Amino acid sequence: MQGSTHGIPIDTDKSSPIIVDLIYRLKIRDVMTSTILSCRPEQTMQDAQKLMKDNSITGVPVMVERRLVGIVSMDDVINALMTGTMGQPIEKHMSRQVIVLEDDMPLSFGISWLDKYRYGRFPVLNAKKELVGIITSRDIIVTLLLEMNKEIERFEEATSHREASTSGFHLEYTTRRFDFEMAGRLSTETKRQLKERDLPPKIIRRVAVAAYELEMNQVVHSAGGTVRVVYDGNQGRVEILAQDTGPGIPDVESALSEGFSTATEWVRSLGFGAGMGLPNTQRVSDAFSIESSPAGTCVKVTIATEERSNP
Amino acid sequence: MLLSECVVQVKGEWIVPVDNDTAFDDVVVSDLMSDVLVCEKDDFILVTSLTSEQVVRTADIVDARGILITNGKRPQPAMQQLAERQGLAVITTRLSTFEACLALAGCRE
Repeated sequence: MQGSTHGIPIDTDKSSPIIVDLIYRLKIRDVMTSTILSCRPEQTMQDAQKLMKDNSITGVPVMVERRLVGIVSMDDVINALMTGTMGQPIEKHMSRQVIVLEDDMPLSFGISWLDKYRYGRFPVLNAKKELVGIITSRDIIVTLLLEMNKEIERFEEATSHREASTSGFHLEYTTRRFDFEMAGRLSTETKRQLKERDLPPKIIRRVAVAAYELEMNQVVHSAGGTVRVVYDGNQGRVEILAQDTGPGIPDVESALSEGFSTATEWVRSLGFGAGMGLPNTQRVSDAFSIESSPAGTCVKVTIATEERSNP
Repeated sequence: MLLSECVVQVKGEWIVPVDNDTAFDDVVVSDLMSDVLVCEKDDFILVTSLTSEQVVRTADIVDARGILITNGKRPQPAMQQLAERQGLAVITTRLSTFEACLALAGCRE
């Protein structure tokens, strides 16, 4: 059996504590498929093949009454096809040495056994040694994804809660070239966080404009990068750091003059690339610096969170 | 002017209605979101013929009271979802941007 494809790339001992906790807390019975299709040893390989095809599965347990006697897989069917023995009984082709899991074992066993034995599926027995389910790598992946999503939601909720209770915060988002859907999330979240802290609306608007323009600049002009917003309540300022991975701005001075644009027509049709991005960021900033080389562009912006006093 | 009055003036249709009928006293018209970000106005609605999610993000950043989409366009699903999440009013009209502005200007006098 082609084993390596069934492995689940999770270290059952050394992963993050949340993941380790998850794969020990979940039991095999929480993950397995309970509706079991089976066949009898005297049925033909053709019967087995039809059952697999009709149900889109790649292996079937072979049962004598309630006792598991073997397992027949797609590989066995292919071998039978190649040797012209599809009419033979399943018992001549099935694997008899079946590795089984017990339903109250932690999921971590399922994960390490998929890796160790390189089978695509394991039958699951209960304490009375009766077949109660089948577990495949797909079952495990689907359950893990769902559970990890729940964990992340819980984690995010806890994090935002913690951040709200203290005065400062720190946000970092990644941008990708031409990924317009992701762009703007940082500024939206930044605005929300600053609003929660009752900062003056005019300041919030300036911070959000700067963050948004910098995100957009990366999406439109760079190969991608990160934009980080750090608010320090004690210092009374917001710092925004935008760092991308190239290709750099050949003429920084021109890029800082309004109306200068190297954006394509397509980008303009989306409402961007008016050549306002950097000048606009500079306009709303109290301190602004930019460095650019083919390896990347780094823009640093500081905005004081007290109202600007008239010069 | 109230958003509900705006809908009547431009013979428009609510795409994302809001609970409170918000008032606005200025209008910003642009298909360039950077231009919108530059403006320093308050209490305005944004008139545009763009229908992407970034219109909502931009409008939110500058605290626009609502978005009026012209030329009979409908917002893209992502734009509509984001507007619903942010509680930002979206109206659409069959009028062109020019005609919509005329209609809004007419009732300002």
